[in-house]
Amino acid sequence: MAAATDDAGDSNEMIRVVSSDGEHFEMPEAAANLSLVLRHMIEDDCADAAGIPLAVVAAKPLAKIVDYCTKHAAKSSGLTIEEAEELKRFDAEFIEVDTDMLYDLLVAADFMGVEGLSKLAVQRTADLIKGKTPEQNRETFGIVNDFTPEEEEEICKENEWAFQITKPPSRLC
Amino acid sequence: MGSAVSKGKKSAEQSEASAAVAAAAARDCWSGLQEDLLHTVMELMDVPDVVRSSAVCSAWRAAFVAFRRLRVPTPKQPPCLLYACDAYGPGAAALYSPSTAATFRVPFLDPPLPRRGVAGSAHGSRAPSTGARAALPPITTLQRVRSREMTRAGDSGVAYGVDFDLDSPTVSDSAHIQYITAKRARDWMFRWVAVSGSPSSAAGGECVVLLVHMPFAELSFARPGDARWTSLTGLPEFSFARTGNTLWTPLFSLSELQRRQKWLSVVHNHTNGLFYLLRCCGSVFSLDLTSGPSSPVARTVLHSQRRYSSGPKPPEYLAVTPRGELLQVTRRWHKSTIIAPADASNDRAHLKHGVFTTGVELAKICIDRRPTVSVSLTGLGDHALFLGHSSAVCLPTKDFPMFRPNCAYLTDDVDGDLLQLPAMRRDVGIWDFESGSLQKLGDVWPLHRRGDDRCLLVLLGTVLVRLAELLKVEQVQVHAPLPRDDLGADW
Repeated sequence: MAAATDDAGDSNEMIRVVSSDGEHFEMPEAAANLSLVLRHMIEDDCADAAGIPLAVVAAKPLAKIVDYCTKHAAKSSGLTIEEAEELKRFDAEFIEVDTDMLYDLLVAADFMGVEGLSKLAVQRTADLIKGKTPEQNRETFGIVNDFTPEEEEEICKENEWAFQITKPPSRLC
Repeated sequence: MGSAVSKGKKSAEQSEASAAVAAAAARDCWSGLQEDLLHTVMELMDVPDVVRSSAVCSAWRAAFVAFRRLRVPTPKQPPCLLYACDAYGPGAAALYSPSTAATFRVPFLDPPLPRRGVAGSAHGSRAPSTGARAALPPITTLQRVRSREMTRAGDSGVAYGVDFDLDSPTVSDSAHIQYITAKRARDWMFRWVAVSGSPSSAAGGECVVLLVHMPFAELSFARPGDARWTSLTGLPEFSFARTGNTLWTPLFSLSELQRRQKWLSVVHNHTNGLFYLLRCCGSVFSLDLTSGPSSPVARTVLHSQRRYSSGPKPPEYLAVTPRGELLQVTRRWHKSTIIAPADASNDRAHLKHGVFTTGVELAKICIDRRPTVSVSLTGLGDHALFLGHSSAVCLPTKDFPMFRPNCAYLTDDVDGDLLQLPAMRRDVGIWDFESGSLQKLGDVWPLHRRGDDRCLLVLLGTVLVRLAELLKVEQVQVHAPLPRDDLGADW
């Protein structure tokens, strides 16, 4: 069925993908084409009724990614300003996820080659890290501090300046 | 707008169990994030944030170290204000990030020792975040610097014997030697710097540092690793007879002639690899230093017939837009000097200066046209300009949304005698080309309003740097003078 996809664009073909934990998802071919990996698979006629297996993407993030691609594929060309705005709002809401999901999206989008989503997830991650102390970042991202106290002290000393956000010194005088 | 259809749903029990497993695995997943992905994230952050993220865990630390080694450019990195302030002492500078309104104290890894003064700093440039140095030749290898000496026993200084002979800088004549203390040479000797390429690029040959240095704002260049600075003073294209009206030359006094030969601004154009130089007489030159150390090629780009006028000259800058267009910027200002009565900081009456920018004029030098012409501009469009001590940077505001388009961000840039006087106020703000007015630079403004110069920062060594360079670093510190001691003290 996926063999007849050469006349790209208007095909209403649904592409099936299978998550690492065995769940099946469907999305329009235009949506699947937003993923570099899926596009190549489709071009190589690997998209069949059994679905394309995505060995490293679990069902939860995959469901989100399918959502993302479907939304963006439906609005890919000839956007009006309002539609672009709406897509922006969709993105902003879409990426409001907990850090576990964010991690999954970051890795999966990178793996699947979904550029827009990759950028979105990277930006969100950077925004979360910004302006926080190392301890706050550990808390946010659930990271265990594996430094010895000596190492930690050394690191802080090495770049001491970056750890001291101060008010302009005139205020101190 | 088809929605995803989940087929083959498992039982609720099953999916709950798998979710729990996923959550458990995900709990400390972030420390295992692929390094290249973490690098992509780091590219979007401020340097201080990147540095802080390295203290989160050892994996992030390793990623940071690799990131630093790669010296990945951080294109979204906005310029920051690097300045010296007394509160931070001589061993550190303050770094103000206008985009986040945070101020950082950035220590120099090798603080200048009182006894060494510039001797240490002039030997290379340092990097606040990496400690890397570009091995630039020492100050003593500049053509006019004849000697390095310790000052009187018991005194703690180094002084350089500088040749002030206008005529023949190559002939040693002790009559023209003046001694400049290291402390003064620190920000007096190096006036302007332009750097081509990245000092860290594998082919180190691509990097050239072009320096305008005192006492007569002459040009020298060096590549990292060179033993000496190479003077460009004798270059035939730069010989003043070519640019001035020879008939009138004898009428100028020798020192006036020297003044007109001074270099005002140097900039590197990344699109064609040429340096562009602006001379006090108004002429613009291009300089090609890529063809080997021994054969600099200079060309007159724009010949100026500017008339001589006495009185202080407005500061002028060359800047290169991201597309490689050459801008000439003239900053009009009003200067005043007053005699301040004795106060808490100084028990005698003393001079203070005030500077106020009254206008910023723009001209585009059309280097792609023959003959080259200068076209005046009314604004910058969607670009912002940063003018500071020793550098002018032009950035597209679409990439730096935190800055206002069609504006020039100004830092204090006084030169000459005024440099040595305490300031009544600092000339720092945002020049809006549309309204033609100077506006406050947000949070940092109060810093520069205080008249109480002894207690506060001394901003004369102000530079604008692209913080991006902190990671590629050498460049920054080439631009940045060391923090100065309080000028009032003992100049």
